[in-house]
Amino acid sequence: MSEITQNVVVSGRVRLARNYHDLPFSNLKQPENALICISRAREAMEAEEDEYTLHQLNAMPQVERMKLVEKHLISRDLLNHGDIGAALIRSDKRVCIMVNEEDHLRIQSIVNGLDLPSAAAEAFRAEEALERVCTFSFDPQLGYLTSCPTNTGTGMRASLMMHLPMLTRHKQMGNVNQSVAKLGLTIRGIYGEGSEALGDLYQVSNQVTLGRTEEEIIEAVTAVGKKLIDMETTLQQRSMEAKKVELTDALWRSYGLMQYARRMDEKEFMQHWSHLRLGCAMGLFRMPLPAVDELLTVAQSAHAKRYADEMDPSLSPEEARCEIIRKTMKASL
Amino acid sequence: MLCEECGKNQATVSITVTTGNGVTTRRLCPECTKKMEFSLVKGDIQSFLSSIMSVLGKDKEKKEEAHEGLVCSSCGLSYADFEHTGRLGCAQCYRDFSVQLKPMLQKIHGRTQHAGRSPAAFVPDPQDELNAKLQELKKKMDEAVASENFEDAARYRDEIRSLTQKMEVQVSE
Repeated sequence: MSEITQNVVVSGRVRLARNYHDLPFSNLKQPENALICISRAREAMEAEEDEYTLHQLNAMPQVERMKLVEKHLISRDLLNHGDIGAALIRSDKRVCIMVNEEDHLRIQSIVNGLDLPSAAAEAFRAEEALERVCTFSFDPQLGYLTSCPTNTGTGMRASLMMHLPMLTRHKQMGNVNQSVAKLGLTIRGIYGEGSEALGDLYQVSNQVTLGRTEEEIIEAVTAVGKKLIDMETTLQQRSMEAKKVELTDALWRSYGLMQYARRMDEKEFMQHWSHLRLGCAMGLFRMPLPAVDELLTVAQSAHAKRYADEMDPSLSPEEARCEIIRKTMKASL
Repeated sequence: MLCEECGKNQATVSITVTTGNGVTTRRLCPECTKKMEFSLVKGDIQSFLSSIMSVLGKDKEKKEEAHEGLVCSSCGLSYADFEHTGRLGCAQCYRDFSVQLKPMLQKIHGRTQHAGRSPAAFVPDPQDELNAKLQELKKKMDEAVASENFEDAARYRDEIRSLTQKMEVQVSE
């Protein structure tokens, strides 16, 4: 992956929605059918060379469930199906199969950077293994049938998690959103509620799943990803030329707070995290980007709470977060 | 996504209306948005609102009439439940609600013919494939006519003709 890509793209992901042909969809929440789905998926992945571990949500404490959400391995929606939901996670954490979310199966594959074709290949490999146990609901005209009509067809969502602090600062995200909508794509904030995009992190993904091939979907998302990388990089360079002191001052202040603050809530953390990542991307700080991206997971609330439980129960999650940040920064330098 | 008003142009604007029945979002193209905005510019808020409400009302009446008592023959989900949750209950819902779902899928995706992968065990019916091709050609011909590209439209018409003949031969065989 090129350095410029890594500076802007945090990760890429392909998700496939599939349903077994002989069972009603999971949203009807029938426990006996949910168990059949889990046992079929487990049987399929046990026969594979890759090692998968089954996580059944009803057997996990809430904080452990939330940790899987913070690692982006399972969705928040799966938590709503907590009594019947499960996830099969490959040992390298690059492939995860959610069972009994909105659809029987949600196969997800995660890659670094823009390499969505590799993510798709991994997802299809898992899909083929799952299909050997039982075939999926499919219609020659409508493609794969899913619980929600917005996923019908390929059932594929290809997405890029992108860090776009300069486009956000220059209030360009509204224009970007309008342009990508014309291509059947959508862009939205990943963290925060409503129109907020905490940490200046966005997900670009296809909205249209029917009538286009998987390759066309991936091409469209990749093309938009490349364009956004160009736009963000250009704005970064221009800001460094035109407003160097203003920009570097803001970034160094955040760097200082990340190193020395003793208590930080999630919103403040995401703001300084964005500055830290931008500073690293621009070569201002020496911390490697993978370590910065790791903070995005390990300094979130459930991880911080778990850290406090294990290390020092007197710490609040906000205090534990600062300890985690300091340790991660120190270890990476 | 296509404009929910004219069904022809790409929708780029979302208008959210809150009524006693809840919140409804309509996605419109710039032209239809302009038409609605025009009443606002004139200061006529009442006519702006009624232009939206009449559309919503018409839709609602029509829907209620057509969907009353519609239930999936396999899982028992009613169409009214689907309208409420946005989630279907099983594969059969797609067949039993096909009249309602087709225009919805067209609005969401702009197309109604799958173009991607199929399951390994799936053997395509040649007649189905030809039907799909026929629909695509018809759509292209309509688009060519709409953009006054008559040369292309004539070419599509000839292709449709020869394809229809091919399909008739297959059926008689």
